[in-house]
Formats: sequence, structure tokens, C-alpha cells
Amino acid sequence: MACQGLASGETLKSLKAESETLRKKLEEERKKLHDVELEKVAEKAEALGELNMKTRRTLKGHGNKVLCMDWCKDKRRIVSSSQDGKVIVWDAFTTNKEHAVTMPTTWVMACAYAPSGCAIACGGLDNKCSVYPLSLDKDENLAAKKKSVAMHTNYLSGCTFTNSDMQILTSSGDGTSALWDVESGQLLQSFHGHSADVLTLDLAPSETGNTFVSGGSDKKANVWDLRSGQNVQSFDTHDSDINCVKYYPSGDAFASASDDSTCRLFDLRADREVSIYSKDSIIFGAASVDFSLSGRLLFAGYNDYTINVWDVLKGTRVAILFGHENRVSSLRVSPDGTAFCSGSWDNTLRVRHEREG
Amino acid sequence: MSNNNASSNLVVAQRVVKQLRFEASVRRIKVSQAAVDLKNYCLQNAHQDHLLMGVPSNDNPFRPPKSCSLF
Repeated sequence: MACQGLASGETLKSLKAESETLRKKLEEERKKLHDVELEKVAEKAEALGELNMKTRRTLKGHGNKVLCMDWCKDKRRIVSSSQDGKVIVWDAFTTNKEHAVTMPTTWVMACAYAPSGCAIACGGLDNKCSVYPLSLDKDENLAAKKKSVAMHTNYLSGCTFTNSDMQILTSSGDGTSALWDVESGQLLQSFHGHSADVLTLDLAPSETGNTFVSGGSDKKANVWDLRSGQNVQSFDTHDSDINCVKYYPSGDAFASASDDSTCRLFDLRADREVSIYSKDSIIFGAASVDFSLSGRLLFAGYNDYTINVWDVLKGTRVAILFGHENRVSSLRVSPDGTAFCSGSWDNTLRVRHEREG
Repeated sequence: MSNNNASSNLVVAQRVVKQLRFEASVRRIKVSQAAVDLKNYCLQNAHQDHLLMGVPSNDNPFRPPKSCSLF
């Protein structure tokens, strides 16, 4: 039986044996370098004082579950999307709604603000990612200028602009992620490797180069090279779906939130999980995470309606925040790190910050 | 029929081995080094982290709105 591309002597059996050997070798390599725990290294760092986070704004206006939100680079505007198909742009300082669009689909699971602040992208059960330029004219019908950019074969779970308004990266229930040119709608690169729905993605901070991380229902977090499409690193220590991944501000690590009720920190240079943020009392899935500006705090939103704030270095919880009346679905720290916003299935968004003193 | 199954299994196995070979070639550093770098980044940037330190009231764009009087 002739098969193309087989090196001499390669059979299914020999390939399976080689993959076993390689997997064992990978495990051994990673173990050898695991010479200390992060918490031990962090012992000498000063413990954090008590946090005094207060809700400063509650954004009300969505008629149904808020599924996703994103900050504008101007640190005051927020875009949010909901189960009923509405996408709203808010001025978080005044709580005014500046724009509202009704998508021709329900469950708008992904939304993102363009770096210029002049457009938003969103999508969900329509399997597409569409871009809406934001007009200064409040009366203009936003839907008229809508541009369909990405086409997947299953729901859109996440989207983000790259470093300009010209390209969008998407993740989908069809198991792939993809990079698109906004102007032409052309597919620039696709990323295959997850064996189930891709639920989340995050782009590396621009200083650290052209990579992004994705998480999926296959319990894996994969790091990809944007240009080549190559899966460069893979982490599979979670016990359930990974709902959210976010890069550490330096770009050297990323955090994940999972249905297994834990959040974890993965260091990219050590190529392994280095911390796990969990408690026996936390039994509901974590839906969303984000770091504070210095990377010291990890904010995580859970299905039990709470937000837990973790000391990233010491692995301990420093605060629990209450207030939402249903699952916290989405959570993001503002671009200058002064506040963070959480979106919930209780139809609202809350902006919180830390008071001095 | 069985030939097709066999060749697609082989293709999958080849892909898996290729990916694993790539991952095995990744250069890694010790956790001790990585951990120190993470800790240093946190400590160096702590003073700019308003969610950690708090924002003085007059600088805070999200402070409770005060009313203004116009004359």
C-alpha cells in the first residue's frame, strides 16, 4: 500500500510509538526545569494590603444577558454585546449610550473596539464577524455601513483587532481561529489545531511580537505564530473548557479561566503552568480574567456571580467582589489600568476602581 | 475503503509527530528564572498600577459626580 510523504520505514505503528516517546520527552524536559514554585520566589514580596474596590458606574440598558465587552483606547468608552442581538457603545464616565446597533442575530458573543476608536467589530451565532464604522452623526443608521469581514462555519466566540483597524483575529466554534483583512474580507491566515470549539483568544502585547493564545473546549491553550500559522506551544493542564485567556502585561505569560473552577498562570519561557488560583469553596466555572497593569492582580469573573481578585505572585485570593445578580460573563481592565468593567447575565455592566487610602 | 481510512490515520499521525517534534525543540528556561522575572515586572510597575494603589480622589475620572453651579 503506497502512501505519499512517508519516510522510509514509517508506519502507523512507528509514528504512534514516536509520538509516545516525544510526549514523554516533553514531560521530562518540563519537569527538569521545574526547580521552584512561583509562590516560593514571591515569599519575600510584600503582602498586599486590603483592597477597597467600589462600583462607580452601573451601565443599564441591555434588555438581556451581557456576553462580551471591550474598552476603547480612550479609556472611557466601552462596547458591549448581548444575547438579544444589541451592541451598545457607552461613555463610561457619564453612562450615556452613544451608539446602539441591533445585529441580525442573537447571542452576540464577541465584540471589540478598533484601536482608532472609530469602529467596532462583533458577531456570534451568525458565524460572522462584522465591522461597523462609528459615525459622529448620532442619527446615522450604523447598520447601513456594516461590513462583513469574517466567515466561519460555526459561531463566533471571540474577535480582536490586531495593532491597527486593518486586520481582525477571530475564534470560532468551528475549532479554528483566523486572521482577516478588514477592507477586502480576505482570509490571511488560519490556525488549525484545537480538536473542539475555540472559545477565546488574546493577542500578545505589541512589544513581544506576533503571537496570540487561544483556549478551547478541548481543555487546551495554544500559542500561535500569526504569520506562519504554526502552533508554537500547547498547554493542557485544565480539566475542563477554557473560557478565557489573557496575556500577562509583559507578554511572558498568560492566564486562563476554566469551567473546572480554576484560573491558571502559564509561563511561556518556562513552557509550563506555574500557578493555579483555586479554592475548595469555589466550585463554579470561571468565565473571564484580566490582569491589573503591573500584573500583580488577576481579576476573575465566575458563574456564581462573584469576582475574585487574586495575588498573581503569591497565589492567594485578596478580595471577593459582589454586586452582580447573575453570572459574570466578561471582565476587562481599562487601558490605563485605573478601573475595570464587568459584564453580566444580569443585563448590566459595572465599572469599579480602587479608592486610595 | 479501508485504504482511505488507513491513509487518513497515517496523515493524522504524521501531523501529530511533526507537531510534537516542533514542540520538543522549543527552548525553555528554568521556572526559578521565569518566576523572578514575573516578580520583578510586578514590583517595578506596582507604583503605576492604580487598581493596586488606589487613585487619589481628584485624579479619578470615575469619582462620584459632583454638581456644578453656573453663574
